[in-house]
Amino acid sequence: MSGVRAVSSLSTSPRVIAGWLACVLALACAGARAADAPAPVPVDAAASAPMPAASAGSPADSASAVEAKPLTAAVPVPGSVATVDIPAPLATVSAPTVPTPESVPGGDKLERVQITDAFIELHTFPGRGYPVFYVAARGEWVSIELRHTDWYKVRTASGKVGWVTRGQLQTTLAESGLQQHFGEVAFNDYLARRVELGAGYGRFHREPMIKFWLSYRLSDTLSIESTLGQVQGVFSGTTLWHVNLQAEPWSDQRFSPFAGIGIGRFHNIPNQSLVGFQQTNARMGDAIVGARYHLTDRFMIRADYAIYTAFVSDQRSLEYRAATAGLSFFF
Amino acid sequence: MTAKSRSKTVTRSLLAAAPALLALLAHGSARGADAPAADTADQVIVPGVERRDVHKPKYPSNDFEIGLFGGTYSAQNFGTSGVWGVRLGYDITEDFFVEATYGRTKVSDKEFRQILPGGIFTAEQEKLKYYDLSLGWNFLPGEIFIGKNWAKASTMYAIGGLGNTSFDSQRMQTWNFGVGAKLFLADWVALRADVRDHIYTLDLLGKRSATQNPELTLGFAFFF
Repeated sequence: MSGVRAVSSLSTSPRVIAGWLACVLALACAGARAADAPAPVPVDAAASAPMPAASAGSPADSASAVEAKPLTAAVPVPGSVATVDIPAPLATVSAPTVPTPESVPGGDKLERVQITDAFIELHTFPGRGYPVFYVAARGEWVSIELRHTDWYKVRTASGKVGWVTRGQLQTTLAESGLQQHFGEVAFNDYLARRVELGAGYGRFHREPMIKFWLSYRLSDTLSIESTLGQVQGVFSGTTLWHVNLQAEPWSDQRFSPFAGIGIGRFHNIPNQSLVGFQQTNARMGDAIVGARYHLTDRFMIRADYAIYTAFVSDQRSLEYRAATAGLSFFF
Repeated sequence: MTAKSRSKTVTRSLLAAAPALLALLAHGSARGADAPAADTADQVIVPGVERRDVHKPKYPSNDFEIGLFGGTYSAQNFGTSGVWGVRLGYDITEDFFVEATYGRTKVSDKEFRQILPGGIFTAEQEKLKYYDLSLGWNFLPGEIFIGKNWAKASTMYAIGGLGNTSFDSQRMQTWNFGVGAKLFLADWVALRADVRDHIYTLDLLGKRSATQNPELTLGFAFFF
């Protein structure tokens, strides 16, 4: 087999792999218990958004409250805006124009929210670079039609449709005592993530390797991950794929190590310019250890070290070591 | 037992023992993490606040993108041909997106066959397939004005990534870099133009060298 050289030959690989399997399961069980104890409550940004008005129990209640008396500073406003005094004349002028939630179009399926911030800016498209074309004021009801990344498409009672940042909706609607900082929300989203997709670059037995992975979390600490890798050697190229079971015992941490084992296939194709080349297509087992770190928003960095054992024949197995680092994001 | 086989046995034993050690460590950490359960039986104050019906809203979203594209792919030394492909993308934030691309084109060694009758490939034309995963960065977001009354949102993007190119039963690790533009016709559909360079190393011509393979495409993207 040209271009590929075995590091060592392990005839006891199945035994070792069985040991690793036991290890991963034990880690997973332990991790599940550990993760239960601190009970990090994943609070989505949207979770704090459903309650429309700070002072009202339900949209209907708040509507009647608004009609009964004009908005004044006596209306408690949550959190950071609580100390802001609203000038009485302004409040009395704006009060009659405040529509009821029912007057906002959208049907029963859409979420309706009341603006408690001074105003929100409606952009023509989801992005800070697109122009603001309308400003909706405090007390107005809007329905939320669509989300794109951190932007929400809202429709006002007057029929204006535009895009508002999550940040603006969140400060206006944060309620139920949960003062969620924006960064913390991203971190909680990270803890509650399900699907991760990433790409990495590194060395596979001193040759450059790229790999892509897609993982799905079965529970807090256990996930299943599929990997596609490509090694570009000077004399041959290797494509490999494997499916791993992975344990992440400290899954409630920003920095979290993991370990996994799996099986897959190993396909080595020597360059055609070599004389008498022979392809290798074999089953493969792998064990991996690594760590991921939540950077910001939806991004993580990740580094790992893996041992691949290709079972080329009944008598012979080849072992390779690989170290890669990369970037991934979660859905 | 020779010294070599003894050392091999020791290595095996160590490898077999490592999982047990890890399992032990994991057990310890799990015990440490166990928190004392709160005793709710003798609660002094029973809150009389009515429980609110808080539900987690589910907003429809369209962060995913699927697209078709077509154009030309110019393979270094092996001619220029039409290319087509599909894309699957995901907008991570308003600034960044990732996308997986699969494309197909043809390469030909016709030029070489004039002086080298056997050619380089087994057949004169070979299928070239590539896939890659790239990270894009949106810059210059804004509006394009078409006439006096029509403005459409648009953005430019820079993109780069890693992937694989295969033809003539060779697989090459491939880097790609490029820029492109999106013109959003509606919330759910956009026009895309893309200029991309695919760089991979090849030794089919007897010398191992990096090749530049520019690609120019136009396409549609649908968001869902």
